[in-house]
Amino acid sequence: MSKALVCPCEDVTFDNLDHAVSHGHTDIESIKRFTGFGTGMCQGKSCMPAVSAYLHRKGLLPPEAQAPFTARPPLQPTRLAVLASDPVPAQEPPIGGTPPTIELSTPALKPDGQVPARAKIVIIGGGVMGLSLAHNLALRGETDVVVLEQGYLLAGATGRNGGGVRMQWGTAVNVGLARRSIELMKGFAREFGINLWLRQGGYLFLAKSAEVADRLEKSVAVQNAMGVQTRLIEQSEASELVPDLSLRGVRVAAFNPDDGVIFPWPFLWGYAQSCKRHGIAVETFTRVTGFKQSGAGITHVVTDRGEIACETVVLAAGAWSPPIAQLAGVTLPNQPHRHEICSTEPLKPFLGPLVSVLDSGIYFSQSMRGEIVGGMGDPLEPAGLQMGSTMRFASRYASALQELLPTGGNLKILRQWAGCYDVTPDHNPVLGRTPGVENLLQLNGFVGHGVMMAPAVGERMAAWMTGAAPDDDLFTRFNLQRFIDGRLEKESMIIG
Amino acid sequence: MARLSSSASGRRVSVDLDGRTIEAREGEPLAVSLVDAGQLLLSRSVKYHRPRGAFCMAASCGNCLVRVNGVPNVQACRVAVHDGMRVERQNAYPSARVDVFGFIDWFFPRGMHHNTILAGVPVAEQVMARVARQLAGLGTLPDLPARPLADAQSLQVPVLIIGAGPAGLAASQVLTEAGVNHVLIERDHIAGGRLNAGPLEAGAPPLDLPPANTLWTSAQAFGVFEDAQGRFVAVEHQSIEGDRLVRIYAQALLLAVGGHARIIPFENNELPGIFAGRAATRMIRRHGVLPGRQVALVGRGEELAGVHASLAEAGITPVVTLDLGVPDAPGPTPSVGIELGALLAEPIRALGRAKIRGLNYRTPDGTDRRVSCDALVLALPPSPSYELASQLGAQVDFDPAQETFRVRADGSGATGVPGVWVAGELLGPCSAQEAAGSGQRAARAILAGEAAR
Repeated sequence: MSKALVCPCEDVTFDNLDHAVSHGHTDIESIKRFTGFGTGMCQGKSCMPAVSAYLHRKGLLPPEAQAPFTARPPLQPTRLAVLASDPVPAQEPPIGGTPPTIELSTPALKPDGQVPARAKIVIIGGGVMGLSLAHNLALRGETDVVVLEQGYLLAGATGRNGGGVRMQWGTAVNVGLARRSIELMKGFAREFGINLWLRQGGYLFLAKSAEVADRLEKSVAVQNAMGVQTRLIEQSEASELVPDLSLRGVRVAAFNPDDGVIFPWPFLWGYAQSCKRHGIAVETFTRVTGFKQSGAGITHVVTDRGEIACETVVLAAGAWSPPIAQLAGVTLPNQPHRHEICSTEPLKPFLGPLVSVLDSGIYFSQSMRGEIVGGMGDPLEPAGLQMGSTMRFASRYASALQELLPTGGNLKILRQWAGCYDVTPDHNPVLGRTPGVENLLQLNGFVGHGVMMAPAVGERMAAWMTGAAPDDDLFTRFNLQRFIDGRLEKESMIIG
Repeated sequence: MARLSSSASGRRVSVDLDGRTIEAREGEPLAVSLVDAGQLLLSRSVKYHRPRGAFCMAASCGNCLVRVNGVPNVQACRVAVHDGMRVERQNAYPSARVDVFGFIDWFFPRGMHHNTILAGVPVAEQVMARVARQLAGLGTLPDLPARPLADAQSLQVPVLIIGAGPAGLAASQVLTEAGVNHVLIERDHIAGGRLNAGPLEAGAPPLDLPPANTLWTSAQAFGVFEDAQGRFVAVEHQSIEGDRLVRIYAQALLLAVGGHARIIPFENNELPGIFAGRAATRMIRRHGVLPGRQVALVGRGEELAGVHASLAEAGITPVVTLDLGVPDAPGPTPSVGIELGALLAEPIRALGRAKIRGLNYRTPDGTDRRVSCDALVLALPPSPSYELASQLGAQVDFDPAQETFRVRADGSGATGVPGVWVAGELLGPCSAQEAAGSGQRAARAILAGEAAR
């Protein structure tokens, strides 16, 4: 059939570009994510200029707003075996990042005009947390809301997420939030008209050391008490689940068939669309530069596009939350930590569950498109808002993945990227009120797992904020005061 | 197809293509041997199962992926033929020619929107998710574990030049004459770039190779990173001893990596048998393989003239030559001017099912015409390969006149990023001679910097 293709790798047509623009995706990074152009084997070499040429010809994007999407390493599909041949120094922390700076916005993309002069509620951060909250506020009839996002939609951690969603947590409260979230994800397409591509292939957790095995077993007991169907399984059953997997040295394996993977991007598109439908402004490319305060509260949020007079401010800026809180004189205990991730070429389905080794923190799953998407935390990663990629990660991950998937050495990494975890001292979020600044509400500190919690957290926070559930203890138990009071409960099932 | 008798090809060997024995030439890129054997159709595309075949012959597209010796998604243009090589087409059932999933392309004549298709439709949604998962992806896991590589090496060198085309070679010559130790890496298995793979052009500099220990061929720079020793370029180097990962730490980096084949919008613009201009000249000049017997040529500017000349030298008179004109000043390229073609507002259209059979186009006076052809060559200036420069922090601008991105640099090729210079077609379309000139200027600027240190 007659089609004109702009990205033959992913079968993206020139018509798809028009479709993306008509849906409000008018910058390169957003069009890339909405259409998928540039995410195939050529890594954007042939399609990127073709997209820009087309947008230029049609007058859809001025030349000064044309910046190619981030040139991610590797520049050529590179085999795991090649990357794994680089010995990784055990004591040398990751240094720098490629590219050195990642632009989330450029002046040319800043919308014309000012932000609304006033709103009852201003939500800072247009990631999955902020938008889930905005959507849920709208469902409860509260639409006098403005959401501020510093870059394009998906510029932050939501867009950099690996897509794993699981109920296998170490505390009852997190198990409950995740279970409710997955329930809401199941109905997401019906509710929003956008596919989230939830695939419940399960999570297979592996533990190698005795200490980690003990931790895994304890968390399974917590989950079972909550009615989650996680089972400790024999090696033989794990081998049946993933026949290509090497289980050498594995002591304990846990499997919950109801966990799975989603495609994180449609989350934001769905929530943002809902906000728009309800008259909630989502102001992208808009940076918060300060606050005006009076007494014990914020009166105005100051942005680079004007001020917004408001009654309540919600800080949902993920890893960017601490510097923004600082603008209001509030110190958060959170610290940003880069987490790197990568994707291979797409393969026919062979991997049902997401597999994670708790000891090393490696995790990998197969996306709906067939890529192996995975990451691995680095114990030496220093704190900082760094989103560049390192070869250290690529080498560590390639070695670990090759060990788990022995026939994978000739698979190729197509792109690596990074996002920032918003890490709290007890690995639990920061929610609820701020001591000393009464109308500043916290919705951050999700330690890299916000995407799988956001549907439920947004639902409960909207109920709490609108008075439907004023006594919800989620917002006192995990408030900022707990760090002062020393009421910390450690979440043990953090990976990545 | 046909192979020019004058060409110096490797020894005749056999490869197995989906159970059929195909004659190929040892050491030649597999994609080139397959074109020579008339095997244009290499796979079906990931979503619509459209036919795919080699397009750029230079690893800048994903159209020639095949399974080679049990390894999926190998770029056929990057792998050298050996006797007994096992080649399988991917993503087609029962065969690439008669692929039952080809119906998807017909079922969605205007394309499908994966974000919203059947979203929330009860039952259909679940069925679709299952079907979509089964249809997604190319190829299956490799048959065997990879052969482990020897440990990566590190190399410190004052200057690293990336790309051994006219700009890189000329820069290397300047450095050699000045006695500056440097390494010149080239991802192809031979040096030369456009000098022996590009369009014929008057005034192109001769191909002078640097000393053997300076030039590394089959060396692919795949990224620039940092560690405790400083900034390094990560290079995958293939040699007789096996593949090796090398970290090259250089005080000065000169990027002369040229450009990528461009995609322009017209119907069926990716049918097998459609080649980038430099894919055609590469096949002809390096391997003596013709892109087709009845070749249609579409393009603009000096690139069109050069490809036309290269085809002519190989004895090919195009069945039609269409000049797209320059984007901002519609009109013919004076040096070609054979027949005015339609501008993109009145697009050409490629015809054919499993491979190209013809071309529809409209002349400037409004007449619709159709020609039969078995190859279509798109001769447009390459689009600068800015990616490595961008990773190094160099500024990349959109050039509305050329409709491409290009790296911002001063007259000497300095990018403003300490120790990073660019030369050649990274700075925009230029002749081989101009590319060599920019390589020399950058090398002299690097020398001046060295002297000042």
